[in-house]
Amino acid sequence: MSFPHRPLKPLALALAIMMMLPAGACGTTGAEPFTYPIAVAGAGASFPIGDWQVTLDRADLALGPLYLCATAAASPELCEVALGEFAEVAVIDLLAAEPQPIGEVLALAGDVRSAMLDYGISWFTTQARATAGSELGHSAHLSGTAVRGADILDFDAVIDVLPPLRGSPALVGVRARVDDPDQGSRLLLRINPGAWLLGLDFDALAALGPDVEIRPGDPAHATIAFAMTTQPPVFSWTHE
Amino acid sequence: MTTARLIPVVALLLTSACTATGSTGSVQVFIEAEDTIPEGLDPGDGEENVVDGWTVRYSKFLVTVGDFKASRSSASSEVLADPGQTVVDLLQLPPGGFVLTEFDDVAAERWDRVGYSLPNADDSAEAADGTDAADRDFMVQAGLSLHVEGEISKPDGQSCLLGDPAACSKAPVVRFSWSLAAGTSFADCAGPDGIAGFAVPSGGTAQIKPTIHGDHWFFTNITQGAEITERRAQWIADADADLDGETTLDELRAAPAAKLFPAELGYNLSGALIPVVTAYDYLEAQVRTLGDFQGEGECPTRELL
Repeated sequence: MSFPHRPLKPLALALAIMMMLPAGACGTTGAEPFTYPIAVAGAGASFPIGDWQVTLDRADLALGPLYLCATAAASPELCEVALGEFAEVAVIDLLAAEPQPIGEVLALAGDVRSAMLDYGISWFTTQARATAGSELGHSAHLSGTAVRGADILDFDAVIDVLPPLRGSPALVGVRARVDDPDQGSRLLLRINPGAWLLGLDFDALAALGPDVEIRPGDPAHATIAFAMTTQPPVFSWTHE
Repeated sequence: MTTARLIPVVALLLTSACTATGSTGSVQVFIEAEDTIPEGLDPGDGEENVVDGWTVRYSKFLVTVGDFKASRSSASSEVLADPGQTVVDLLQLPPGGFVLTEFDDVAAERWDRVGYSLPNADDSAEAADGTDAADRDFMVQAGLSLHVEGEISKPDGQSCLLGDPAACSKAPVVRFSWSLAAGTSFADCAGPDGIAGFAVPSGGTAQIKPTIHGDHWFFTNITQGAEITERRAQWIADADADLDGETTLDELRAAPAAKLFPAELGYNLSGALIPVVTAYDYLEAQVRTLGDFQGEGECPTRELL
Protein backbone atom coordinates (compact mmCIF):
# COMPACT_ATOMS: atom_id res chain seq x y z
CA MET A 1 0.00 0.00 0.00
CA SER A 2 1.52 3.29 -0.99
CA PHE A 3 1.63 6.41 1.07
CA PRO A 4 1.32 9.26 -1.44
CA HIS A 5 -2.47 9.00 -1.78
CA ARG A 6 -2.80 10.77 1.53
CA PRO A 7 -3.16 14.54 1.78
CA LEU A 8 0.11 14.31 3.70
CA LYS A 9 3.41 14.90 2.03
CA PRO A 10 5.24 11.59 1.63
CA LEU A 11 8.54 11.36 3.38
CA ALA A 12 10.47 11.39 0.15
CA LEU A 13 8.88 14.68 -0.86
CA ALA A 14 9.41 16.11 2.60
CA LEU A 15 13.10 15.26 2.34
CA ALA A 16 13.35 16.99 -0.99
CA ILE A 17 11.75 20.12 0.45
CA MET A 18 14.14 20.12 3.39
CA MET A 19 17.14 19.85 1.10
CA MET A 20 15.96 22.96 -0.77
CA LEU A 21 15.91 25.08 2.40
CA PRO A 22 18.87 27.41 3.03
CA ALA A 23 21.45 25.53 5.02
CA GLY A 24 21.90 28.30 7.55
CA ALA A 25 18.26 28.89 8.36
CA CYS A 26 18.41 28.78 12.17
CA GLY A 27 20.23 25.49 12.15
CA THR A 28 19.33 22.44 10.17
CA THR A 29 17.24 19.42 10.86
CA GLY A 30 18.62 15.95 10.38
CA ALA A 31 17.00 15.09 7.10
CA GLU A 32 18.24 11.52 6.86
CA PRO A 33 15.35 9.08 7.07
CA PHE A 34 15.75 6.08 9.31
CA THR A 35 13.71 3.12 10.43
CA TYR A 36 12.84 1.45 13.70
CA PRO A 37 10.66 -1.56 14.55
CA ILE A 38 6.98 -1.45 15.34
CA ALA A 39 5.18 -4.22 17.24
CA VAL A 40 1.66 -4.81 18.55
CA ALA A 41 0.60 -6.56 21.76
CA GLY A 42 -2.91 -7.80 22.43
CA ALA A 43 -4.49 -8.74 25.72
CA GLY A 44 -6.12 -11.61 27.55
CA ALA A 45 -8.99 -13.46 25.92
CA SER A 46 -11.41 -13.76 28.85
CA PHE A 47 -13.07 -10.94 30.76
CA PRO A 48 -16.39 -10.11 32.46
CA ILE A 49 -18.93 -7.76 30.94
CA GLY A 50 -21.81 -7.18 33.32
CA ASP A 51 -23.22 -10.56 34.29
CA TRP A 52 -21.56 -12.27 31.35
CA GLN A 53 -18.14 -13.91 31.19
CA VAL A 54 -16.85 -13.33 27.69
CA THR A 55 -14.12 -15.44 26.10
CA LEU A 56 -12.70 -14.58 22.71
CA ASP A 57 -11.43 -17.37 20.51
CA ARG A 58 -10.60 -15.10 17.61
CA ALA A 59 -9.52 -11.45 17.60
CA ASP A 60 -7.93 -10.50 14.30
CA LEU A 61 -7.27 -6.85 13.59
CA ALA A 62 -6.12 -5.14 10.41
CA LEU A 63 -3.92 -2.21 11.39
CA GLY A 64 -2.48 0.46 9.13
CA PRO A 65 -1.47 2.57 7.42
CA LEU A 66 -0.27 4.59 10.41
CA TYR A 67 1.27 8.05 10.49
CA LEU A 68 3.14 9.86 13.27
CA CYS A 69 2.62 13.60 13.52
CA ALA A 70 4.46 16.53 15.10
CA THR A 71 1.37 18.21 16.54
CA ALA A 72 -0.66 16.84 19.42
CA ALA A 73 -4.06 17.27 17.85
CA ALA A 74 -3.43 16.47 14.26
CA SER A 75 -5.88 16.78 11.44
CA PRO A 76 -4.53 15.82 8.03
CA GLU A 77 -3.91 19.55 7.54
CA LEU A 78 -1.78 19.85 10.68
CA CYS A 79 0.04 16.60 9.91
CA GLU A 80 1.00 17.73 6.45
CA VAL A 81 4.42 16.11 6.73
CA ALA A 82 4.48 12.87 8.69
CA LEU A 83 7.43 12.26 11.01
CA GLY A 84 6.91 8.56 10.66
CA GLU A 85 4.87 6.13 8.68
CA PHE A 86 4.01 2.48 8.70
CA ALA A 87 2.56 2.37 5.24
CA GLU A 88 1.39 -1.23 5.21
CA VAL A 89 -1.62 -3.04 6.63
CA ALA A 90 -0.75 -5.76 9.12
CA VAL A 91 -3.19 -8.39 10.34
CA ILE A 92 -2.61 -9.02 14.03
CA ASP A 93 -3.80 -11.67 16.46
CA LEU A 94 -4.96 -9.62 19.44
CA LEU A 95 -5.26 -12.71 21.62
CA ALA A 96 -1.46 -12.75 21.83
CA ALA A 97 -0.28 -10.65 24.75
CA GLU A 98 3.34 -10.85 23.62
CA PRO A 99 4.54 -8.14 21.25
CA GLN A 100 4.21 -9.18 17.63
CA PRO A 101 6.61 -7.43 15.22
CA ILE A 102 4.72 -6.08 12.21
CA GLY A 103 7.42 -4.16 10.36
CA GLU A 104 9.36 -0.92 10.39
CA VAL A 105 8.44 2.72 10.87
CA LEU A 106 10.07 4.92 8.22
CA ALA A 107 10.87 8.07 10.15
CA LEU A 108 12.33 11.55 10.10
CA ALA A 109 13.94 13.22 13.10
CA GLY A 110 11.61 15.17 15.32
CA ASP A 111 9.30 14.95 18.31
CA VAL A 112 6.14 12.91 17.80
CA ARG A 113 2.98 14.21 19.42
CA SER A 114 0.09 12.26 17.85
CA ALA A 115 -0.81 9.59 15.35
CA MET A 116 -3.35 8.94 12.65
CA LEU A 117 -4.28 5.47 11.47
CA ASP A 118 -6.66 3.23 9.66
CA TYR A 119 -7.93 -0.14 10.74
CA GLY A 120 -7.14 -1.79 7.43
CA ILE A 121 -9.76 0.15 5.47
CA SER A 122 -8.52 3.32 3.81
CA TRP A 123 -10.08 5.98 1.67
CA PHE A 124 -7.34 7.63 -0.31
CA THR A 125 -8.01 10.77 -2.31
CA THR A 126 -7.67 8.81 -5.53
CA GLN A 127 -10.37 6.33 -4.57
CA ALA A 128 -14.12 6.62 -5.07
CA ARG A 129 -14.81 4.71 -1.88
CA ALA A 130 -13.08 3.22 1.12
CA THR A 131 -11.29 -0.05 0.39
CA ALA A 132 -9.94 -2.86 2.53
CA GLY A 133 -6.17 -3.25 2.25
CA SER A 134 -5.54 -6.67 3.73
CA GLU A 135 -6.50 -10.29 3.29
CA LEU A 136 -8.81 -9.90 6.29
CA GLY A 137 -11.09 -7.83 4.07
CA HIS A 138 -12.41 -5.95 7.11
CA SER A 139 -11.09 -4.00 10.08
CA ALA A 140 -11.56 -6.75 12.63
CA HIS A 141 -12.97 -10.20 13.14
CA LEU A 142 -13.90 -10.97 16.74
CA SER A 143 -15.61 -14.17 17.76
CA GLY A 144 -16.15 -15.98 21.01
CA THR A 145 -18.56 -17.11 23.67
CA ALA A 146 -20.43 -15.27 26.41
CA VAL A 147 -21.66 -17.28 29.38
CA ARG A 148 -24.09 -16.30 32.14
CA GLY A 149 -25.02 -19.22 34.30
CA ALA A 150 -26.72 -21.69 31.99
CA ASP A 151 -26.99 -19.16 29.17
CA ILE A 152 -24.41 -19.58 26.43
CA LEU A 153 -24.10 -17.17 23.52
CA ASP A 154 -21.76 -17.69 20.61
CA PHE A 155 -21.03 -14.52 18.67
CA ASP A 156 -19.14 -13.73 15.51
CA ALA A 157 -18.45 -10.07 14.73
CA VAL A 158 -17.05 -8.74 11.45
CA ILE A 159 -16.25 -5.07 11.92
CA ASP A 160 -15.56 -2.33 9.39
CA VAL A 161 -14.25 1.00 10.67
CA LEU A 162 -14.51 3.40 7.78
CA PRO A 163 -12.69 6.70 7.36
CA PRO A 164 -15.25 9.49 7.74
CA LEU A 165 -14.04 11.42 4.69
CA ARG A 166 -12.10 10.72 1.55
CA GLY A 167 -8.45 11.54 2.22
CA SER A 168 -8.80 11.28 5.98
CA PRO A 169 -7.67 8.38 8.14
CA ALA A 170 -10.28 6.69 10.31
CA LEU A 171 -8.60 7.85 13.50
CA VAL A 172 -6.88 11.22 13.90
CA GLY A 173 -5.28 12.92 16.88
CA VAL A 174 -4.50 9.64 18.62
CA ARG A 175 -2.28 10.23 21.63
CA ALA A 176 1.31 9.25 20.82
CA ARG A 177 4.21 11.08 22.36
CA VAL A 178 7.96 10.61 22.14
CA ASP A 179 10.86 13.02 21.92
CA ASP A 180 13.07 12.63 18.90
CA PRO A 181 13.04 8.87 18.28
CA ASP A 182 16.00 7.39 16.40
CA GLN A 183 17.22 4.12 14.93
CA GLY A 184 17.42 2.61 18.41
CA SER A 185 13.77 3.33 19.17
CA ARG A 186 11.09 0.65 19.39
CA LEU A 187 7.38 1.42 19.02
CA LEU A 188 4.85 -0.80 20.77
CA LEU A 189 1.09 -0.53 20.35
CA ARG A 190 -1.04 -2.14 23.05
CA ILE A 191 -4.60 -3.07 22.12
CA ASN A 192 -7.23 -4.64 24.35
CA PRO A 193 -10.04 -6.06 22.21
CA GLY A 194 -12.10 -6.72 25.31
CA ALA A 195 -12.49 -2.98 25.83
CA TRP A 196 -14.18 -2.76 22.45
CA LEU A 197 -16.91 -5.15 23.59
CA LEU A 198 -17.73 -3.41 26.87
CA GLY A 199 -20.61 -1.46 25.36
CA LEU A 200 -22.33 -4.53 23.93
CA ASP A 201 -25.75 -5.43 25.33
CA PHE A 202 -25.28 -9.18 25.71
CA ASP A 203 -28.80 -9.54 27.11
CA ALA A 204 -30.19 -8.12 23.88
CA LEU A 205 -27.87 -10.28 21.77
CA ALA A 206 -28.87 -13.43 23.69
CA ALA A 207 -32.50 -12.64 22.95
CA LEU A 208 -31.68 -13.09 19.26
CA GLY A 209 -30.63 -16.71 19.74
CA PRO A 210 -27.67 -18.82 20.86
CA ASP A 211 -25.59 -17.98 17.78
CA VAL A 212 -25.37 -14.35 16.74
CA GLU A 213 -23.63 -12.85 13.75
CA ILE A 214 -22.70 -9.18 14.06
CA ARG A 215 -22.27 -7.48 10.74
CA PRO A 216 -22.10 -3.91 9.36
CA GLY A 217 -25.47 -2.24 9.83
CA ASP A 218 -26.27 -4.05 13.07
CA PRO A 219 -26.53 -1.96 16.27
CA ALA A 220 -23.90 -4.17 17.90
CA HIS A 221 -21.56 -3.48 14.98
CA ALA A 222 -21.97 0.24 15.52
CA THR A 223 -21.15 -0.21 19.19
CA ILE A 224 -17.92 -2.09 18.50
CA ALA A 225 -16.84 0.21 15.67
CA PHE A 226 -17.51 3.23 17.89
CA ALA A 227 -15.34 1.75 20.65
CA MET A 228 -12.54 0.99 18.21
CA THR A 229 -12.59 4.65 17.22
CA THR A 230 -12.72 6.14 20.70
CA GLN A 231 -10.45 3.62 22.44
CA PRO A 232 -7.48 3.47 20.09
CA PRO A 233 -4.17 1.63 20.48
CA VAL A 234 -1.91 2.86 23.27
CA PHE A 235 1.45 3.99 21.89
CA SER A 236 4.71 3.62 23.80
CA TRP A 237 8.34 3.86 22.79
CA THR A 238 11.38 2.20 24.29
CA HIS A 239 15.02 2.55 23.35
CA GLU A 240 17.52 -0.25 23.14
CA MET B 1 8.35 40.79 -7.38
CA THR B 2 11.26 39.34 -9.27
CA THR B 3 13.48 36.59 -7.97
CA ALA B 4 16.40 38.99 -7.74
CA ARG B 5 14.48 41.26 -5.38
CA LEU B 6 13.02 38.41 -3.38
CA ILE B 7 16.28 36.83 -2.30
CA PRO B 8 17.47 39.70 -0.04
CA VAL B 9 14.07 39.82 1.64
CA VAL B 10 14.22 36.13 2.46
CA ALA B 11 17.75 36.53 3.78
CA LEU B 12 16.63 39.36 6.04
CA LEU B 13 13.78 37.29 7.44
CA LEU B 14 16.07 34.39 8.20
CA THR B 15 18.58 36.68 9.90
CA SER B 16 16.03 38.48 12.03
CA ALA B 17 14.45 35.19 13.07
CA CYS B 18 17.72 34.03 14.56
CA THR B 19 18.93 37.08 16.44
CA ALA B 20 17.60 39.20 19.25
CA THR B 21 17.04 42.88 18.65
CA GLY B 22 17.29 44.07 22.25
CA SER B 23 14.13 46.20 22.10
CA THR B 24 11.11 45.52 24.29
CA GLY B 25 7.34 45.89 24.44
CA SER B 26 4.40 44.81 26.56
CA VAL B 27 1.90 41.98 26.59
CA GLN B 28 -1.73 42.06 27.72
CA VAL B 29 -3.55 38.75 28.03
CA PHE B 30 -7.32 39.06 27.62
CA ILE B 31 -9.84 36.29 28.16
CA GLU B 32 -12.30 36.28 25.32
CA ALA B 33 -15.59 34.42 24.93
CA GLU B 34 -16.46 33.06 21.53
CA ASP B 35 -19.65 34.66 20.17
CA THR B 36 -21.50 31.37 20.69
CA ILE B 37 -21.40 31.99 24.44
CA PRO B 38 -23.23 35.34 24.71
CA GLU B 39 -25.24 34.90 21.51
CA GLY B 40 -25.90 31.17 21.55
CA LEU B 41 -26.26 29.10 18.40
CA ASP B 42 -29.08 29.15 15.90
CA PRO B 43 -30.42 26.38 13.70
CA GLY B 44 -29.57 26.34 10.02
CA ASP B 45 -27.16 25.17 7.38
CA GLY B 46 -24.47 27.81 7.90
CA GLU B 47 -21.00 27.02 9.16
CA GLU B 48 -21.77 28.01 12.75
CA ASN B 49 -25.36 26.74 12.82
CA VAL B 50 -26.87 23.71 14.50
CA VAL B 51 -27.86 21.44 11.64
CA ASP B 52 -30.56 19.44 13.43
CA GLY B 53 -32.81 22.39 14.07
CA TRP B 54 -32.14 23.23 17.70
CA THR B 55 -31.55 26.71 19.11
CA VAL B 56 -29.01 26.98 21.92
CA ARG B 57 -28.92 29.67 24.59
CA TYR B 58 -26.73 29.91 27.67
CA SER B 59 -27.80 31.55 30.93
CA LYS B 60 -24.58 30.87 32.86
CA PHE B 61 -21.08 30.11 31.61
CA LEU B 62 -18.34 29.98 34.24
CA VAL B 63 -14.79 28.84 33.60
CA THR B 64 -11.59 28.75 35.62
CA VAL B 65 -8.67 30.19 33.66
CA GLY B 66 -5.03 30.49 34.56
CA ASP B 67 -1.41 29.44 34.32
CA PHE B 68 -0.59 31.55 31.30
CA LYS B 69 2.87 30.84 29.90
CA ALA B 70 4.86 32.03 26.92
CA SER B 71 8.41 31.37 25.84
CA ARG B 72 10.60 31.43 22.77
CA SER B 73 12.19 28.50 21.01
CA SER B 74 15.24 30.67 20.41
CA ALA B 75 15.64 31.55 24.11
CA SER B 76 13.83 28.95 26.14
CA SER B 77 15.16 30.28 29.46
CA GLU B 78 13.11 33.45 29.03
CA VAL B 79 9.57 32.75 30.18
CA LEU B 80 6.48 34.87 30.69
CA ALA B 81 4.44 33.14 33.35
CA ASP B 82 1.52 33.90 35.63
CA PRO B 83 0.54 30.81 37.64
CA GLY B 84 -2.58 32.41 39.13
CA GLN B 85 -6.10 31.25 38.37
CA THR B 86 -9.32 33.21 37.99
CA VAL B 87 -12.99 32.28 37.82
CA VAL B 88 -14.56 34.09 34.89
CA ASP B 89 -18.25 34.53 34.09
CA LEU B 90 -18.07 34.61 30.31
CA LEU B 91 -21.55 36.14 30.11
CA GLN B 92 -20.45 39.07 32.29
CA LEU B 93 -17.15 40.11 30.76
CA PRO B 94 -16.27 43.79 31.25
CA PRO B 95 -16.96 45.97 28.17
CA GLY B 96 -13.25 46.46 27.57
CA GLY B 97 -12.53 42.78 28.04
CA PHE B 98 -11.10 40.97 31.05
CA VAL B 99 -7.34 41.26 31.38
CA LEU B 100 -6.03 38.04 32.91
CA THR B 101 -2.45 39.23 33.24
CA GLU B 102 0.09 41.70 31.83
CA PHE B 103 3.82 41.71 31.25
CA ASP B 104 6.18 44.65 30.68
CA ASP B 105 9.73 44.86 29.33
CA VAL B 106 9.16 41.86 27.14
CA ALA B 107 11.63 41.15 24.34
CA ALA B 108 10.19 42.43 21.07
CA GLU B 109 10.30 39.05 19.41
CA ARG B 110 7.93 36.30 18.43
CA TRP B 111 6.96 34.27 21.49
CA ASP B 112 6.15 31.06 19.74
CA ARG B 113 5.39 28.76 22.67
CA VAL B 114 2.18 29.83 24.32
CA GLY B 115 -0.17 28.00 26.62
CA TYR B 116 -2.68 28.37 29.40
CA SER B 117 -5.02 26.21 31.44
CA LEU B 118 -8.64 25.74 32.28
CA PRO B 119 -7.84 24.20 35.68
CA ASN B 120 -10.04 22.88 38.43
CA ALA B 121 -10.56 25.87 40.73
CA ASP B 122 -8.75 25.91 44.05
CA ASP B 123 -8.61 28.33 46.97
CA SER B 124 -6.16 30.57 45.17
CA ALA B 125 -8.71 31.42 42.47
CA GLU B 126 -9.87 35.00 42.26
CA ALA B 127 -13.10 36.31 40.79
CA ALA B 128 -12.69 38.19 37.53
CA ASP B 129 -14.07 41.69 37.12
CA GLY B 130 -17.79 41.26 36.54
CA THR B 131 -17.92 37.78 38.11
CA ASP B 132 -19.99 37.34 41.27
CA ALA B 133 -18.11 36.29 44.38
CA ALA B 134 -20.79 33.63 44.92
CA ASP B 135 -19.99 32.13 41.52
CA ARG B 136 -16.29 32.12 42.35
CA ASP B 137 -17.01 30.40 45.67
CA PHE B 138 -19.24 27.82 43.97
CA MET B 139 -16.48 26.92 41.49
CA VAL B 140 -13.80 26.76 44.22
CA GLN B 141 -15.82 24.70 46.68
CA ALA B 142 -16.65 22.11 44.02
CA GLY B 143 -13.22 22.29 42.38
CA LEU B 144 -14.71 22.98 38.98
CA SER B 145 -13.16 23.96 35.70
CA LEU B 146 -16.53 24.72 34.08
CA HIS B 147 -20.15 25.29 34.94
CA VAL B 148 -22.67 25.90 32.20
CA GLU B 149 -26.44 26.38 32.28
CA GLY B 150 -28.77 26.85 29.37
CA GLU B 151 -31.35 25.28 27.15
CA ILE B 152 -31.87 23.92 23.70
CA SER B 153 -35.21 24.61 22.03
CA LYS B 154 -37.02 23.58 18.87
CA PRO B 155 -40.77 24.05 18.27
CA ASP B 156 -41.21 20.48 17.05
CA GLY B 157 -38.40 19.08 19.16
CA GLN B 158 -38.50 15.50 20.33
CA SER B 159 -36.63 13.43 22.87
CA CYS B 160 -36.03 9.96 21.45
CA LEU B 161 -34.77 7.59 24.12
CA LEU B 162 -31.10 6.98 23.36
CA GLY B 163 -31.70 7.96 19.74
CA ASP B 164 -34.41 5.35 19.12
CA PRO B 165 -36.82 6.87 16.56
CA ALA B 166 -39.53 4.51 17.79
CA ALA B 167 -39.38 5.95 21.31
CA CYS B 168 -39.90 9.69 20.86
CA SER B 169 -41.80 12.20 22.96
CA LYS B 170 -42.41 15.90 22.49
CA ALA B 171 -39.58 18.00 23.90
CA PRO B 172 -39.66 21.59 22.63
CA VAL B 173 -37.29 22.75 25.37
CA VAL B 174 -34.57 20.80 27.16
CA ARG B 175 -32.56 22.47 29.92
CA PHE B 176 -29.13 21.60 31.22
CA SER B 177 -26.98 22.61 34.19
CA TRP B 178 -23.61 20.92 34.06
CA SER B 179 -20.62 21.24 36.38
CA LEU B 180 -17.37 19.55 35.47
CA ALA B 181 -13.96 19.20 37.06
CA ALA B 182 -12.20 18.67 33.76
CA GLY B 183 -9.00 20.60 34.30
CA THR B 184 -6.98 20.75 31.10
CA SER B 185 -3.86 22.55 29.94
CA PHE B 186 -3.56 23.93 26.45
CA ALA B 187 -0.23 24.54 24.75
CA ASP B 188 1.38 25.28 21.40
CA CYS B 189 -1.28 27.89 20.75
CA ALA B 190 -1.40 29.42 17.28
CA GLY B 191 -3.54 32.11 15.75
CA PRO B 192 -6.14 31.53 13.04
CA ASP B 193 -3.35 31.95 10.48
CA GLY B 194 -1.58 28.94 11.98
CA ILE B 195 1.45 30.96 13.10
CA ALA B 196 2.55 29.87 16.56
CA GLY B 197 2.28 32.31 19.45
CA PHE B 198 2.42 36.07 19.14
CA ALA B 199 4.82 38.84 18.22
CA VAL B 200 5.64 41.69 20.60
CA PRO B 201 6.11 45.01 18.79
CA SER B 202 9.06 47.16 19.80
CA GLY B 203 7.72 49.89 22.09
CA GLY B 204 4.16 48.63 21.67
CA THR B 205 1.74 46.19 23.27
CA ALA B 206 0.73 42.76 22.03
CA GLN B 207 -2.85 41.90 22.97
CA ILE B 208 -3.22 38.16 23.42
CA LYS B 209 -6.62 36.54 23.56
CA PRO B 210 -7.01 33.03 24.92
CA THR B 211 -10.50 32.34 23.61
CA ILE B 212 -13.02 30.05 25.23
CA HIS B 213 -15.36 28.38 22.78
CA GLY B 214 -18.96 27.55 23.58
CA ASP B 215 -19.99 25.12 20.90
CA HIS B 216 -17.64 22.15 21.03
CA TRP B 217 -20.16 19.84 22.73
CA PHE B 218 -22.22 20.10 19.61
CA PHE B 219 -19.39 18.99 17.32
CA THR B 220 -19.53 15.73 15.40
CA ASN B 221 -15.79 15.25 15.89
CA ILE B 222 -13.03 16.13 18.33
CA THR B 223 -11.61 19.32 16.93
CA GLN B 224 -8.16 18.78 15.46
CA GLY B 225 -6.98 22.08 14.12
CA ALA B 226 -9.53 23.76 11.90
CA GLU B 227 -13.11 23.26 13.09
CA ILE B 228 -14.31 21.21 10.14
CA THR B 229 -17.41 19.72 11.69
CA GLU B 230 -21.16 19.84 11.99
CA ARG B 231 -22.98 20.96 15.11
CA ARG B 232 -25.75 18.76 16.47
CA ALA B 233 -27.77 19.14 19.68
CA GLN B 234 -30.26 16.28 19.42
CA TRP B 235 -28.10 14.13 21.69
CA ILE B 236 -28.97 16.35 24.66
CA ALA B 237 -32.69 15.80 24.14
CA ASP B 238 -32.23 12.08 23.54
CA ALA B 239 -30.33 11.66 26.80
CA ASP B 240 -33.22 13.07 28.87
CA ALA B 241 -34.30 9.59 29.92
CA ASP B 242 -36.98 10.65 32.41
CA LEU B 243 -38.44 13.20 29.98
CA ASP B 244 -38.61 15.90 32.63
CA GLY B 245 -37.21 18.54 30.33
CA GLU B 246 -33.75 18.59 31.87
CA THR B 247 -30.78 16.44 30.89
CA THR B 248 -28.64 15.82 33.94
CA LEU B 249 -25.09 14.62 34.25
CA ASP B 250 -26.37 11.37 35.76
CA GLU B 251 -28.49 10.81 32.66
CA LEU B 252 -25.45 11.48 30.50
CA ARG B 253 -23.44 8.95 32.50
CA ALA B 254 -26.14 6.34 31.87
CA ALA B 255 -26.34 6.98 28.11
CA PRO B 256 -24.08 4.85 25.85
CA ALA B 257 -22.18 7.18 23.56
CA ALA B 258 -22.38 4.73 20.65
CA LYS B 259 -26.15 5.18 20.55
CA LEU B 260 -26.19 8.98 20.72
CA PHE B 261 -23.25 9.74 18.44
CA PRO B 262 -23.56 7.31 15.50
CA ALA B 263 -21.30 7.39 12.47
CA GLU B 264 -24.42 7.65 10.28
CA LEU B 265 -24.87 11.20 11.58
CA GLY B 266 -21.26 12.01 10.80
CA TYR B 267 -19.81 11.46 14.24
CA ASN B 268 -16.15 10.44 14.50
CA LEU B 269 -14.82 10.91 18.02
CA SER B 270 -11.25 9.71 17.56
CA GLY B 271 -8.62 11.89 19.15
CA ALA B 272 -10.46 12.47 22.42
CA LEU B 273 -8.29 13.08 25.45
CA ILE B 274 -10.25 10.46 27.39
CA PRO B 275 -12.00 7.22 26.37
CA VAL B 276 -15.53 8.01 25.24
CA VAL B 277 -17.96 5.35 26.47
CA THR B 278 -20.92 7.40 27.72
CA ALA B 279 -22.50 10.68 26.73
CA TYR B 280 -20.89 12.19 29.82
CA ASP B 281 -17.50 11.14 28.45
CA TYR B 282 -18.36 12.89 25.19
CA LEU B 283 -19.24 16.07 27.07
CA GLU B 284 -16.07 15.91 29.15
CA ALA B 285 -13.93 15.16 26.10
CA GLN B 286 -15.34 18.22 24.35
CA VAL B 287 -14.96 20.39 27.46
CA ARG B 288 -11.29 19.50 27.34
CA THR B 289 -11.01 21.16 23.92
CA LEU B 290 -12.63 24.53 24.72
CA GLY B 291 -9.36 26.43 25.06
CA ASP B 292 -8.51 28.21 21.84
CA PHE B 293 -6.44 31.23 20.90
CA GLN B 294 -6.91 34.57 19.21
CA GLY B 295 -10.48 33.73 18.23
CA GLU B 296 -10.44 30.71 15.98
CA GLY B 297 -6.80 29.73 16.50
CA GLU B 298 -6.02 26.42 18.15
CA CYS B 299 -3.98 25.15 21.10
CA PRO B 300 -3.51 21.59 19.85
CA THR B 301 -1.47 20.20 22.76
CA ARG B 302 -3.92 19.33 25.52
CA GLU B 303 -3.14 17.52 28.74
CA LEU B 304 -5.26 16.39 31.66
CA LEU B 305 -4.71 18.34 34.88
